Amino acid sequence: MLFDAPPPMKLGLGLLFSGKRPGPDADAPRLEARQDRAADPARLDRWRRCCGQAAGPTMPLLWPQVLAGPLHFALLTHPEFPFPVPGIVHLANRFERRAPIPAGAPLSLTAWTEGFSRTHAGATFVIHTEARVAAGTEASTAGEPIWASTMTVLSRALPGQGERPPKQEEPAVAAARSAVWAVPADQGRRYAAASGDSNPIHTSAIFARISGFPRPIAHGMWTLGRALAELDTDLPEVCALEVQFRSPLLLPSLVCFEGGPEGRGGRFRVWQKKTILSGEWKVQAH
Amino acid sequence: MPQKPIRLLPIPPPPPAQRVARDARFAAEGERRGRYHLPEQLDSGSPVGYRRRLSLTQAEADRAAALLSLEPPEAFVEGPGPTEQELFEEASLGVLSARQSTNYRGQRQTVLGQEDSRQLHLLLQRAGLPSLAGATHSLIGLYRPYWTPFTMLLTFVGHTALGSLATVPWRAWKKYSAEAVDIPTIGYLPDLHIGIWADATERAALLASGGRRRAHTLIGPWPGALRTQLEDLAGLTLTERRAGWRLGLVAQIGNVQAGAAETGAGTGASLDAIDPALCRKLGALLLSLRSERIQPGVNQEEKAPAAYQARQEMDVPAELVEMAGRAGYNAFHRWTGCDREAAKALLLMERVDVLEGGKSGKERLREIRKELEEITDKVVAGIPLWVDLPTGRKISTNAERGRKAFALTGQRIYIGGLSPAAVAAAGIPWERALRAFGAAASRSALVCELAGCIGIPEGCDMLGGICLMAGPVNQNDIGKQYYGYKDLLAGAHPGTDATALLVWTLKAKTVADPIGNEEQLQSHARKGALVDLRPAPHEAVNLRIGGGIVPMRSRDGRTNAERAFGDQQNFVVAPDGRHIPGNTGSAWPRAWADVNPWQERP
Repeated sequence: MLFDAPPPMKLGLGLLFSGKRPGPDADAPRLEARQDRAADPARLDRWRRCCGQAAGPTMPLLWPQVLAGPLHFALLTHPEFPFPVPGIVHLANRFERRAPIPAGAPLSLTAWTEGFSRTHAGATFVIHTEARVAAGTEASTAGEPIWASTMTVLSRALPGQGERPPKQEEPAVAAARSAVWAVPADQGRRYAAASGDSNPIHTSAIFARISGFPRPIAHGMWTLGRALAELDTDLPEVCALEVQFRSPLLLPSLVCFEGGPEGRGGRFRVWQKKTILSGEWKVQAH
Repeated sequence: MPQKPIRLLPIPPPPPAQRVARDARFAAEGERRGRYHLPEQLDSGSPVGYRRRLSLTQAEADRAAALLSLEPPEAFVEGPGPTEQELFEEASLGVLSARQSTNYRGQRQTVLGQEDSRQLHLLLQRAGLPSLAGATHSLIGLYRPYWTPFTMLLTFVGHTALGSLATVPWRAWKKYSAEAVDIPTIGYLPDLHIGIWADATERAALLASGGRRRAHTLIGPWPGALRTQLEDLAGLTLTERRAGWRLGLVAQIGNVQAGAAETGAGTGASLDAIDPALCRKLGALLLSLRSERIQPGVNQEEKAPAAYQARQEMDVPAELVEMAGRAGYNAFHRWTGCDREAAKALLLMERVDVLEGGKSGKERLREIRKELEEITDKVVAGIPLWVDLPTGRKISTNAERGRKAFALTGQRIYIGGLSPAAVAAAGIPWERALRAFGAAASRSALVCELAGCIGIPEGCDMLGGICLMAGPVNQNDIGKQYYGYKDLLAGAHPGTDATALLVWTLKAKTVADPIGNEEQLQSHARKGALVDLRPAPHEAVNLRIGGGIVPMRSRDGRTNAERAFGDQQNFVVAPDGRHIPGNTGSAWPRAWADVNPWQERP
């Protein structure tokens, strides 16, 4: 799939009742979507502000992922994709930035998914995304894959298989930075406006209830973006970041953040009673 | 005569068996949480957080002594302007932590850039006030009258049963319409606070710049026309003026010549000896200092942990108390400009050495306590029933609670004040004398606080602390105004119109008070999180940029969560090493902090 303009990311009733019911022998063929995105400084600025990130000469680590949101949506809603969109859960993400990307660089984005695996909770699949600075620009890295992410997603449309893996002890996190965030009730709506991800589970109390949450939940990408705003320059330009989304952040909430550098990388987590999100980064060789 | 030399003298620690520390821990699951536990989290924009004192070596203390008798700079030299980070840390040691009552919040400042500082210089010069050219930035400090729940309570004090039906509304109306005060010492409090703030500002400018900059500070009183011009420059609105906000102090801050005769006058310690590393340590240490009200084994609560229950065999050395007094005289001389010997005569002090018997020791303390108790009894009995009953006796209950705030405990106690007649005879405006007195009291207290950090033994929080308070003086003033009592200083200074203004109690001890929170400040709605009453930068500091007023550290929906001088890592932790979530804070983005705000947003 190639897009000239970003496909819309609106969840309509048609999606809710798409009728996708994967059978036990379901197959997930390779689906790929590509799009060139011109620089949009105003939108980037809106997104940064929403996450509390300071403007700078380089692109935030998560920005290509935000730009690729419509591509991900296009893959998930493709008729050949076996799982229904409602009920899928974002489990984890890995980001890799191989060189600093100028904030105003146009990007060529490619996203693809292929196959899935069965786990104790259902079926998990991975959406890969790759970004290149569009060819023909002045950037020295133009045309090379400069940024990549893998997003691990769970669908419960298939019954679980196998044993639940034993719970792993969470490693301690340095408290070099520690803050308490009062996350307002309308945070979901604010982030939806800034990112274009208007999934109603983040904005509608009724939809959140239907989905099994007592209140709307914050976008995982906002929680992560806000956490990276706290880390600021601790997170190097060239790095690999792994994030686990462990539990939902109900809105409104008072949550704690802590994190900081450790050796050639660092860790952080966002938590209330339980961990909401945890992450670990490593410095990469440039 | 110049200021006399100050030395920070160590307080000898108690025998090893008595060396205890706070060691507060988090409440266990299901355990009732109290003030002796660590709060579950700290959601605060204040740069202070909850800190531990840092131990100073004697050599560091000798160098730090220069901070205790700073003289104003004579000239500024060319040099770099401040970064936003430096301005933040300067404000953190100044207006954001200048030991004002936590529920007063009656001070704020506007910071001017280089251009506006030039205009300020011209305005001061034109008004004939001392002013320095070449400031990198300046502060205009604003304050408002002292209004707190206590001043509301005072409205109901000192009335007759029947007459109160008319006199209570009349007094309330006068307070509302003409800023009248119930007792004079309440009206003096904002001035005392300005003095404390001014003295802190001089140290703040030096420490936040790593020793490069100094403050030239003026504390008024201000000629009417200049006052209006400066208030306009600070962006004071008509509504704020109506709410009582007005000009308090002005500080011009600029770079000074390294190695010039900029010494802490009379201390023998050169300011050059306060290197950037020591500046950072002292900055973090100053932010850790808190009022110490508990003397272990004397006034501790029954439910307090064991560390507070036993007396400790230690004392504030007499030589240190003398130094504290000397620092007070130095400060009064500095801020009024009067001769130092005259300062000694004007600053009226009574020293109560509690560990000694006799008239000036325990006996005197008992006498003061008895008198304050009697006054409190009269206040409680005199609250008009028509006010007290409909509120479920909340007014009298609160008056009762005052006993705790007025309690005097310490090993050495200073009662300080001024004689209005003597101040007038010396040609010093009363307002300036009050401000200078506030500076003198806080500087005197700081001598003991810093000395209490020299060589803190392993396993101890401190060796000495102070509690500087106006409560006992206010209570005595109620007695003076309504029940015929004499001033607290009347006995020590007979035949004068001595007016007590502040009391400071010095305590030698190794265990610090609980980390400052009262139980009622722990929010149950927030499941034990602490409600921090100290202001965040955006609540008390504005920057004047491009003719507009911009709050400090409120940007793109984000406000400050950084703790100033946080690199010194002197945060309170549980005995198992766990931090209070939110306490260490999170640094302001470097892209915003490392730039000069006037160059970034002209």
